[in-house]
Amino acid sequence: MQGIRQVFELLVSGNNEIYEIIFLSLRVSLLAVFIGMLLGIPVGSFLGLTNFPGKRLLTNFLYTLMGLPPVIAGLIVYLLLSRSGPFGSQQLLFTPTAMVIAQVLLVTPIITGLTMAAVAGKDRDITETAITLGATRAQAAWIIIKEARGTILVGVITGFGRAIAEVGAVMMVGGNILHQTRVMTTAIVLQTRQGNNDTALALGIILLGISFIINGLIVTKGRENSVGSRNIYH
Amino acid sequence: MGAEIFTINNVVKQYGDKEILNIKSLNIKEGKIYAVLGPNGSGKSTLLRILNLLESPSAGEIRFLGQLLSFEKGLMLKQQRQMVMVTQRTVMFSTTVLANVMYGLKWRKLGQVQARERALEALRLVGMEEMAQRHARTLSGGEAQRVALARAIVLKPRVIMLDEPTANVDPNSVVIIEDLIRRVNRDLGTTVIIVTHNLFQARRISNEIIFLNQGQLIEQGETENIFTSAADSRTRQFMAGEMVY
Repeated sequence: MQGIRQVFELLVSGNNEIYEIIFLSLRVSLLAVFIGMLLGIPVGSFLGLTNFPGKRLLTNFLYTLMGLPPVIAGLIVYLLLSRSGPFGSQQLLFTPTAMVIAQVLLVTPIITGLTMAAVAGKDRDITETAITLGATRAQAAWIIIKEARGTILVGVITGFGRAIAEVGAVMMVGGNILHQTRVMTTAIVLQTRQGNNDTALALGIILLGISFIINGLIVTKGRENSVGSRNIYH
Repeated sequence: MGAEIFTINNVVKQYGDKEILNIKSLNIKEGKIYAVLGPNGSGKSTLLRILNLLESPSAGEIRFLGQLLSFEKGLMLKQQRQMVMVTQRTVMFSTTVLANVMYGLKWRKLGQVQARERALEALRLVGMEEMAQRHARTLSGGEAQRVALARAIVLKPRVIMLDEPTANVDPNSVVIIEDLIRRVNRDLGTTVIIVTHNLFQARRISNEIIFLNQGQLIEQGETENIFTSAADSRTRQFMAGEMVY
């Protein structure tokens, strides 16, 4: 109850810091998911629709990346963006851009892998029906992707869940700098370390609430375009 | 009527070492309704899939309107767009009934308004116009099969191939489907090749029978002749319902 009361206090306190943190969390995670979708859906669809030598190895590698520990993603981005790294001159370390890059690294394999599984799992009959109706290979591939959109959406939601809840990588490459790179998760860590457990808990509840709302919006949008997975065959 | 739409010569289909189909010679003429009959595993569906370019033969030659059936990308699409296949396991795309029927037209770059008009007309022919806005995955088996037929005839193909289109379909839909097959054939001159296990249906709607057994063409001829005086004993057995399948 203390935590819930604290949530309302935080939200109505007129303290801009909390809104700044919320909006940065959303901006970083949503942008990372958007980029992850742009990369992951086409690549995952291609992998799901085609067969080529080495596909199994590539698939195993992709599945491994789906479980990539955030600190490793953070470390890779840190090494790339640090002053002595190949992109050091861009001065991106400890900026929201670095945080987005780290999250893209975490989110893209998830969206790619689940898209691949969704597309590959669609029945051959769908492709054949499209082809017998005169679809080109590309048109048939597009209809498969459309038919798989429900499961692809699950990939997007999972990716968003990973991004918004992520703390290790954003801490490493963002630095948890107030007014610049502090997001919900890093703020929770800070508050806990400072012994402000109620505030940390309140931030946690707000984070869960945001996640619930965003996922609800994604699911509702998805449902508008799909009737789900009712019986396909008669 | 009369020109050969398919000419099949020495077509063999093998899966590994197993020979599924081996047809020395078969001619299918334009404008007729053919019923392909035979016991299970006689190669009926494989024949349809090969004619529809869904599978390539292991050997042999098939001509479609005098031209070799080709798996070369451009020509394959051109040939494929002159034929449509409706299978027993109807797949409805996850959208409305109307959009399902419009898909093939959109893929042929027909304008939205014209495609919609033609799709509605096709749905009217199968008695499904009122269900145009319903989600296709909520249809019953019979309704879905009628929509699948509308989705095929709206494309005005030269050939419609039907693989057991009325299996597991309600009697009312069977009547509608059979009537539509006759009308499409009569009014548009569309060649129909129907695989069926229903001998009564074959007799009711087809002009010619193609009888296959163990992957081989046993007999081809006019429907009444095959039913009343087939030359081959296996055909007679099958028509009499004596061949176990």
